Amino acid sequence: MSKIFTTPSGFAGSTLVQVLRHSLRLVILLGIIGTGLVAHYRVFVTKEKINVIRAEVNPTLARRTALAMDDFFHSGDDQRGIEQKHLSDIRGNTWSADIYGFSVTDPLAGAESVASSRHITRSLLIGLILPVIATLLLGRFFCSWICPAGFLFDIADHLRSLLQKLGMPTRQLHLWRGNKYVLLIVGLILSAIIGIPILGAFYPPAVLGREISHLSASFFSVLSDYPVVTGISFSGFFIIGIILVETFISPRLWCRYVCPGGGLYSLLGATRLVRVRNDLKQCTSCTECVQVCPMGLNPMKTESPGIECDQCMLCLNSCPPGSLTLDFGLPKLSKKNDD
Amino acid sequence: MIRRKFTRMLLRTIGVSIASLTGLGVFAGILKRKSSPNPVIGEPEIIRPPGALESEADFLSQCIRCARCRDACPTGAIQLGSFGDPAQLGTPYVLPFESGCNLSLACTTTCPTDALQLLTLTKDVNMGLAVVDERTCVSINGTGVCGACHTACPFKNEAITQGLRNAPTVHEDHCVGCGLCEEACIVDGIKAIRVFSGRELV
Repeated sequence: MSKIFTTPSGFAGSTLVQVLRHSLRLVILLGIIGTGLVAHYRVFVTKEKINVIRAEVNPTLARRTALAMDDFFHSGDDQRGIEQKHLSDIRGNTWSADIYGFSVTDPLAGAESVASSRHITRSLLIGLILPVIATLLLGRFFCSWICPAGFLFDIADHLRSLLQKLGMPTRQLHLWRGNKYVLLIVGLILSAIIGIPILGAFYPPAVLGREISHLSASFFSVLSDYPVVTGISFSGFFIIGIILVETFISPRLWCRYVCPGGGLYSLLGATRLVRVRNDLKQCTSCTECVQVCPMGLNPMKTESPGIECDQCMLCLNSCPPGSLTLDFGLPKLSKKNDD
Repeated sequence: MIRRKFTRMLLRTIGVSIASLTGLGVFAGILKRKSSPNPVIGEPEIIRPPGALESEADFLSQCIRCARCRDACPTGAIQLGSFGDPAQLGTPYVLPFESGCNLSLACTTTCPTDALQLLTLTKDVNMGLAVVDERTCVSINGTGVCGACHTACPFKNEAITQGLRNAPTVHEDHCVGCGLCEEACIVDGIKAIRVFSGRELV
């Protein structure tokens, strides 16, 4: 095995890493909500200012508070011609984000856009650099470390185990794992044929980001004098539906069997450098890791779980003999190189 | 026993694949559908944000529906299409009677796929053309003296000039279709000055 570096046992598998993982996703989910609210809040305040100047509306206490808050949010910019960075300069969601002018785009979005428009633009290429390189190095880490929908599905997992403890019957439906690759390829081909990217319409992180943007825009629209609730689509119910199905019928249905984005990340991370490895000499075949794996993989049987491992590192913590380690190393070329 | 399990697995797999493919097909049909008429304007017209690709088919194929332009818009002019809207699901469009575009061009700088191409000059924007309805315009039909559209216009005396009783005249080569005139128009309901993009719907 061409292993270069093994993380010290106890760190990668520690609870601290799990806490970090969950809090990172929570911060991202709250960040999408927060930046959406701030962006549309600024729109609301700007319109209110214009309305007050036009004397169309009375500056009530709520409006006066809003205007005072606006001064607090960006004090000092515009007047001196110096642009200061503020929270509303973070735009978008995990589907595609603009963080102080730095563009990050989901590889699935890129693949779709390229498939349907049949050419790649410079901006898209720039946005794809970081996610693609990170996926080549770390594999399918997006699913367990960043995806805000995955965070919700994790909650569904916990809800499921809670229901099981309470004695509620839950079903264990298993499907074919290749479904996601079929969906990915068919979706890309369909996008190319009709000329419209369609996978993003039901890819949960994209749906979640769009819905949050819709809701934050509608929230401030309702507050204004001329409420126009546009843009509430019903794809949010789709995510709620998945959560219900995952709670009662099939654990992690979407991530394990259906998600086309997960399929693309798996394919991109096939030769990843950081991966969980199993020392078969130490392994006692206790099946603890199999039970704990949210992706339903089997790290016990082979030297390394397949391309669908999402690097959540839960199995490292569960392994009693400590035979599972997180290694940094080059992909294995042939079996004879094993030590 | 193994054979039975395998057959069950195979049937289930085929079932799920067929179901997902049908779902995808229906979805594609929904996305591909002809736009419905705008309930307010009454005509199937979509005004895209500044810098949008000229061909509607090109625009739809490049836009990844990420909502970045909407979050970037300082005036809230950009709406995103949802079910029942004239624009396709998740694509940005402008409803000038609600809020005109103040030509900050923030949306063109943030687009990740150049579906909204980067613009630096406000006069390069080409969202549409404002058209005055001479029957309802207060200044033209003689019921009053207004001039609100001229006041709102960012290209005053170039795109809109005033005549007798502040009657507006729109000049095609200077109007960028920002829709601030339509937002400012004092006529209730359907405004007397309206922006038309003339985009061919796909």
